[in-house]
Amino acid sequence: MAEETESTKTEPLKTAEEEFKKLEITEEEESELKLETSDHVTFMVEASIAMKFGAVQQYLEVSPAASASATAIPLHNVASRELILILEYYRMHDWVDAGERDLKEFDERFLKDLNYEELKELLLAANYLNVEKLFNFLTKSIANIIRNKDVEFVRTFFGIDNDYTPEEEAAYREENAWAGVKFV
Amino acid sequence: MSRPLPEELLVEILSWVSVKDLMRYRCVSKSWSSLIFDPTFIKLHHQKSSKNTHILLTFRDYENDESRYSAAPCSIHDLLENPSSTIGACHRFNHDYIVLGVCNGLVCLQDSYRGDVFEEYWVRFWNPATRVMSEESPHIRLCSSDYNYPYLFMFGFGYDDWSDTYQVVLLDNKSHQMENESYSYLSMPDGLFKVPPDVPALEILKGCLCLSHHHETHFVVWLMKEFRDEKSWTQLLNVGYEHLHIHVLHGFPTLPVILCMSRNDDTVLLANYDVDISTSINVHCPCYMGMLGRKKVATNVLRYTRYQERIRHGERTEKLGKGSVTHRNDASLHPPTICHLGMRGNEKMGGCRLALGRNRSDMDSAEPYPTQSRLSADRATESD
Repeated sequence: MAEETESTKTEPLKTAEEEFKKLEITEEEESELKLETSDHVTFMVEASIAMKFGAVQQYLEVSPAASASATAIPLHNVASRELILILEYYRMHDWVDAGERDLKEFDERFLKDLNYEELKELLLAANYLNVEKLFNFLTKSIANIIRNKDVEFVRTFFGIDNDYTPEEEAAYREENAWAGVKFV
Repeated sequence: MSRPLPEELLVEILSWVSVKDLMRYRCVSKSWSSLIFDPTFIKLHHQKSSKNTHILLTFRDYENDESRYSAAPCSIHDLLENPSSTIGACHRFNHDYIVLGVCNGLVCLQDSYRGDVFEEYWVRFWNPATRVMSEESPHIRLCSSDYNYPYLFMFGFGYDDWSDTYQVVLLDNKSHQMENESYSYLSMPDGLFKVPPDVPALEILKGCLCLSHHHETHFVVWLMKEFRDEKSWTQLLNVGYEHLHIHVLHGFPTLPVILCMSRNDDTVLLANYDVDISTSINVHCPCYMGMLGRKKVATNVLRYTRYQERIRHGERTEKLGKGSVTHRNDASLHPPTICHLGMRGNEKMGGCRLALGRNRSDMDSAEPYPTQSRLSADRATESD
């Protein structure tokens, strides 16, 4: 017990000094992580944002050295186009001063700038990166797009082939007349 | 070059879509149809739709000189967004059903025949989200001559987690003495000095036992925040009838029914049978907020029941093989059976009646009454 108390007494000075050094390093160098997209573009990303990506966390668990070294963390299934969008989204949603209305406006604009294909690509990237907030936002937005739409629209949207026979389809039409089935 | 989305992502997207849309999207392809009726998907969808409470308005619809019992489901979210909207599509029944209860989006409807010598009761299950109706249950015949006075019986409807089944229970006092019953006693809130003259309404609101009653010129609502903890009774509302647009005739108003409470606990939606409207009331500053569900059809009494949408019920018994989907059966509902129980002699049903009083001695002399919320109250006990 006595020994322990003594050692803790002498330590504070040392640790404070070390902490100070660490702090300097964090501010200057360690606050960014290097990410490399599937089309071989490297991004320097704030650690606070990059660590929100499940895929980055997982990579660092396996090879912790990557956080300090200059080696880039590879994102095999994310192209630079998608990463730019994802970073834009997270930078806005991470911004402390962003009010609820700002975020709502941002989200609306963000969606408006995307066509259906881009939206789906972004969802695939968000799924690969394992980013929960954006993933939920995108799945909900797509659900909103197909809301009240007819079957043909949904087939085209998701690129699905109709594998029903005309008889089967007719039977469904009869059964679901109340739900407003439209056949083109 | 469009990459198709993997099924796990489709599941996530479709879990946000309304049941009505999903019923239509069964026609997209065979794999969509089996995905939509997949038990895991149904559970996920139900979890998400539990945030989107619906109410079922049931009323008599007079059209072409013909009176038909009708029901119209509507989303509370939509109602609050458009307070003056009219009732949309409604479902017209060909019988006069009583809504016995709603559980996980499944409505239990009761029909009856009342003759001089005997009465017959039967039930059906109905899913308002998919509009699927089951066949009738076997009829249960009751003869009042078989009973000792008083002739008491009640129906209950609930979901049994253990067996994953929906159960309809008939409880009666047929040729049983009532002495050996076991009751659960709950004390009344401290602010209440005697058992109200009318049976107070008991129900479950946000997982808490909720008691509402008439007090002079006010409608009072209490919440028991911790089940069985009598100190946890909290007064939620104490609103004058004038704020609720309720007319008090001869001192006895038609009490409003509590539909739901908002997520942030500051608004309670009440249904008012008296004037065919529902009202939302701010908890902290009670005030009349607006008229909801104004009806287009000529009706008399509107009844409201809250529920959450669900695609299908009882997965365990109705599992479908993948790829072998027959479109006739995939949404079908098994007809219910009624479980008939005497009040005594069944361990599981012990403690199913609730008596209200101020203290233990009051309770011993108080007349215990079975309540409509009995099965829900039992569930609260189990999870307690």
